[in-house]
Amino acid sequence: MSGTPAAQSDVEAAARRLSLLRTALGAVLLGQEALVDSVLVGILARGHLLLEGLPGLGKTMLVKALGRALGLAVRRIQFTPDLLPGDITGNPILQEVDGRRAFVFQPGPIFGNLVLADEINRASPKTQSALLEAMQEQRVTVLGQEHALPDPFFVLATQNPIELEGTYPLPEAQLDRFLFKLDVTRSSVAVLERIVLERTIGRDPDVPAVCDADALRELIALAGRVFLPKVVATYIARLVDATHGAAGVRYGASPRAALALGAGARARALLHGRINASFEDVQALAPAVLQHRLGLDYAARLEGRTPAAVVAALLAEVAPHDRPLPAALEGAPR
Amino acid sequence: MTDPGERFWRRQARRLARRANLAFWFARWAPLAAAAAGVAAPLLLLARRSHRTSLAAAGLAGALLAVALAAAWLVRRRFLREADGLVWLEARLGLYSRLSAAAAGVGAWPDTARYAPAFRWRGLRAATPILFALGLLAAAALVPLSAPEAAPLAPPEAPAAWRQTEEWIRSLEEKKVAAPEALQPFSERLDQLRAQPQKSWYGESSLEASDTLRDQLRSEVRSLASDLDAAAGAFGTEHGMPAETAVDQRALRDALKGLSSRTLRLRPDLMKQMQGAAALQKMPALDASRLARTLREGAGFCRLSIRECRPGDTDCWRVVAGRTGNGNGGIDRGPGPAPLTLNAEASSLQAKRTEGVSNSDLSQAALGDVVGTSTGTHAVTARAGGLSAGGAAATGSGGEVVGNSQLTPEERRILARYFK
Repeated sequence: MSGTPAAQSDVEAAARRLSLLRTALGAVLLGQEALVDSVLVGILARGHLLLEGLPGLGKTMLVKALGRALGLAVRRIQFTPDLLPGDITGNPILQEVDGRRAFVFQPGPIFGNLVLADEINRASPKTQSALLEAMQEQRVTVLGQEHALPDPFFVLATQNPIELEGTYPLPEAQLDRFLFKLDVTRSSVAVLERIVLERTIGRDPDVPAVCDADALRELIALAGRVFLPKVVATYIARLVDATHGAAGVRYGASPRAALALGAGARARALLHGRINASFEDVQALAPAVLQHRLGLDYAARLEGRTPAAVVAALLAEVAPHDRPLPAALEGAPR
Repeated sequence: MTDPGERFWRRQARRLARRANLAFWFARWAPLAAAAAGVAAPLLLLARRSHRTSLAAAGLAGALLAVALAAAWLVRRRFLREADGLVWLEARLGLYSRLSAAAAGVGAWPDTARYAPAFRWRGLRAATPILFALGLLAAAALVPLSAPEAAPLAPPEAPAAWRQTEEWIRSLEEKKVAAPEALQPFSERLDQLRAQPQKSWYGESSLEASDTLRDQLRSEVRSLASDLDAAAGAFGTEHGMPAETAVDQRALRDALKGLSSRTLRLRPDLMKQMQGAAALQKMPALDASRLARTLREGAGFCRLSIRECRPGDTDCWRVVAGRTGNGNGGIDRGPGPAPLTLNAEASSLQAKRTEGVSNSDLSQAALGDVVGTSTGTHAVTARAGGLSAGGAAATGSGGEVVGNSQLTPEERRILARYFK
């Protein structure tokens, strides 16, 4: 936590603004309230997000709507196998400047506040690694010259879980850079009915601008000041530690995962208008934070176990409370 | 800590922690206590049989206390603190870690109205081992026990005066010298003494009464014997076998007067004969001689009954010594029983495994053999004052020999040779 703890009044004001944001995004992305909340939490935690889902479920629309609502510059990069790093970061172009010829850096599409890296797993590892530095360092280096990326800077990458032929699965190091991996699921019949009635192909819905980049920075700073109780931090540590040696896990989550859980818990608390994070925040975010950071062993994959199932088992196994209650005491009916 | 909300929530947290700790301790203590009760129950039964219930209860209480302390030691690492209680409360009440944050000084404490009893006991399940233990102990403490079979106590030996009195009465009854109804009062008084509780047999009053009864009977028997002798003497002995014998009527009347006034009266037919003789100046010599002999025999029987033989009465002494019939030419002729053979009558020595022997030949007696028992009084020398502890038995008066050797010269030589 940086600085003094967030005041209740500040948190309530932020929650009201975030509520407007949720409403605006919810009006665009019908039936995806949980996904919208997770994306907002990721943004407030200053994290990059990996969205995984079938085509046509609204991933691109979500990013576009988010950019408009937040008043951020949105860039989209369609990753393909022949995409080069320079196509993302930008290239020096020989130009005549003041009567002399010189290389002038022409910024690539990564220079935006909100970058949609569509189908990121279709690019070559070399191109993916170019994105790695940008995500971690928030800058790019071209011909030995560093170029800072705008602030705030978020990467929302998507990948398709099917049609894996000809793709380059993201390496673990790059996956670890993503704060959350969010599964975009299909909508129910009722939601589909609303989509059919309210949407028109080729025309994006109107999204009101709820805030701007400065306001977003304030919200992010406020999220960092949300109090994380020691008992919750202990729970995060025990949960992350339990991923090592869990059944079916070849390698567990990194300390960065613990940091992500802490930051995400703070951001979620702010989203819900609370001045402190809680066990419930950690439990709600654990699947999104941990599932892409766990490497399953061969037997577990053969058995069809998924990382999400492993995380669910861990949540059931690791109690939030360091010291359990005796069996003679049970929860009273409420 | 002035915030009422903080006081309230911390109090609830401590309360929950106490309950949880108690439950932890109880869960560990209960099976241990049940096991201890399983061991203690049979011991309690044994203690009750040996009338050491208080000792067993103290031991049981100590064992349970030790088990309780051991259980607390074993589960001490699981004990909850106030902070843990806050965590459990906020989790159960849906407070989103507000209590932990407030305890860390961030934000206000939640409204106390949000509190609700969050946990409850599952008491019966937890208390099952203890109920089992209590049942065991209650059964051990309350089950009726039969009285322990005490070793059969030998009845105390009757006082010697009773035995003597009884023996004398039986002997008098056998000899039929005294009237049977005259012996009845003595028998009744003896029965009354026997009817006392056994613990009173040797009381001062009982012994005094016993001695009095014995002495009275002995006195009566002596008097009867004396009167019979006197009566026998009233029939003079005429030498030369005269036809009639003179009767000393005065002496006979005196004897009759004494016989009539005694408690122990003479048998009626003999009394009648004497009264008839007293009315005569002379009576046939044969009858007088027979009556006199009868009277003397009666006197002898009386003395024999109380084991008081007159000097020269060899028959009486032989009977008293138990050597009747020896040397008479019968099948039991000879010098009597072999040395140290068992007596025909068992010794009444109660718990001792010794038997009296049938004669007084002690030449082959072994160490520890009981060669005889006797009843008598100790000859106690009355002193002016007893010795106090540490006191000297005698004080010297000067010039006395302090060390007086009791050894013979031969013994002195042996000792000198030994210590040389």
